[in-house]
Amino acid sequence: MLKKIKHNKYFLLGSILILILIGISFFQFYQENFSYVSEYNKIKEYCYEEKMPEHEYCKVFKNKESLKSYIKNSDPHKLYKKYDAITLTSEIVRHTIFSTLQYFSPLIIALIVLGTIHNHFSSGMFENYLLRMKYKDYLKKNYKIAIKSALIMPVSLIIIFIISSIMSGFNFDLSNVDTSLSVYNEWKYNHFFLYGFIICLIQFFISLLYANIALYCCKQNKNKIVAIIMSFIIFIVIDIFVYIGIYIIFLNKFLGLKELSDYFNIAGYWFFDEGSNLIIPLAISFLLQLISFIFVINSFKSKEKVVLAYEKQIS
Amino acid sequence: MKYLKGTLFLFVVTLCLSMAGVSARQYTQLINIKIPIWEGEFVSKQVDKGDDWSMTQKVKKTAISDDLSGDGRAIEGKIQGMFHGMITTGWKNLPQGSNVDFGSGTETQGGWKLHLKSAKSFITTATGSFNWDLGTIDSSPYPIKGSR
Repeated sequence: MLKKIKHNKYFLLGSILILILIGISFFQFYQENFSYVSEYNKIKEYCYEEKMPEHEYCKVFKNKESLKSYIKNSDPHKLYKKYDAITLTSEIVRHTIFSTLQYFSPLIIALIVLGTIHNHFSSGMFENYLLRMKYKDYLKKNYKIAIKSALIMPVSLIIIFIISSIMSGFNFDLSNVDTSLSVYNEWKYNHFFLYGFIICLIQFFISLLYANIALYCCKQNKNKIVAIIMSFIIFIVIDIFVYIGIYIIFLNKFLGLKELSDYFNIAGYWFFDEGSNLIIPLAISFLLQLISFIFVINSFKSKEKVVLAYEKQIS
Repeated sequence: MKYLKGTLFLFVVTLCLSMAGVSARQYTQLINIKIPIWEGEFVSKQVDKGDDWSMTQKVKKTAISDDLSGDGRAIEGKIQGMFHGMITTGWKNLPQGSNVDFGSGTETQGGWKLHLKSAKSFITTATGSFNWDLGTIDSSPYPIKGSR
């Protein structure tokens, strides 16, 4: 058991980081939206129920009508009812600290992949693996780590949905939804499971892209930390190249195509608004992970070159 | 006398017609606001809402463009109450030219701040202008339009 934990320690570390982030996100959401409730209750008790009418909170209300208006319009129960499971899930993903994963998920995936695989090179274990198994089998074993790491982000979305369902009391009643909220999207709310499945699939492909970048950097750098940083920089470069190079310079300025920013902002593939065609980001994310997979295959194709790179690292 | 009565009658009718359908509201203008990159938010300076206790707050995006591509940009806004017991609204989409009502709870007199951000994280900034209608305004660091 301990051996298994030791072998998967970076995977566990990455998972724990994500779970902590999810916990902080829920706390942040309730703090931002419901922190006024204790003061509301004091105002209701001291001013409206007149248990302490001289309290400083009561001085704001010039007359009974303004107090009645405040009590009615700021009622937290009305606000709480607006957050059904789908709305709460969408708010957590989009408007809390969880949304920073738009730019930090490549770092977490690099940490898991490089933390696990780079050890084979730096510790000298690579030689032992080659003695015990065929090179192709060794590559397949490592790619399984990449695929496992790519599942973390889609699974985190599912966890958020499950927690949101519990916190909202499994409220899937859409009749109280505030349709003016930015997370509201008629198609999404009416087809939430399909929408969720497509987003999870997009995130899986994008995460595979990040894992492939990490695998490529594994061979290039002796130092694990440098490899992780290099992996993150390559992601930033790809993000800039796709958005500014392909979209702004070529498609927008040269071909005159407009209003396609959302599709070429690969870091933003966590949610989409009304009117977005989900097939386009699905196709782009699939293509990017395929191209990166071909790069990785080419990079590790020659066993001799990999052995040379390994010998450089341990020298 | 006949002409005086006639003129007075016309004056009263005109006055009533001119007041029909008019609700006096005040709004403040935020012009050429820079929307930061990534998850950055623009947070306005505090604007003090007056004591009408009945007018909810509305925000209208009047102009926006990406600083590099010139594309429009989906912007979200929320309004934060700064005093005891005041709510913070949820984030709402601000479609171009639409007066978005932030609803119940924003009628409260007191200090409020407007938060604006891109709906998604972009690596480019955007510049936009917004009208923030508080109903009645006691004070604002931005230009105030309309009447009480």
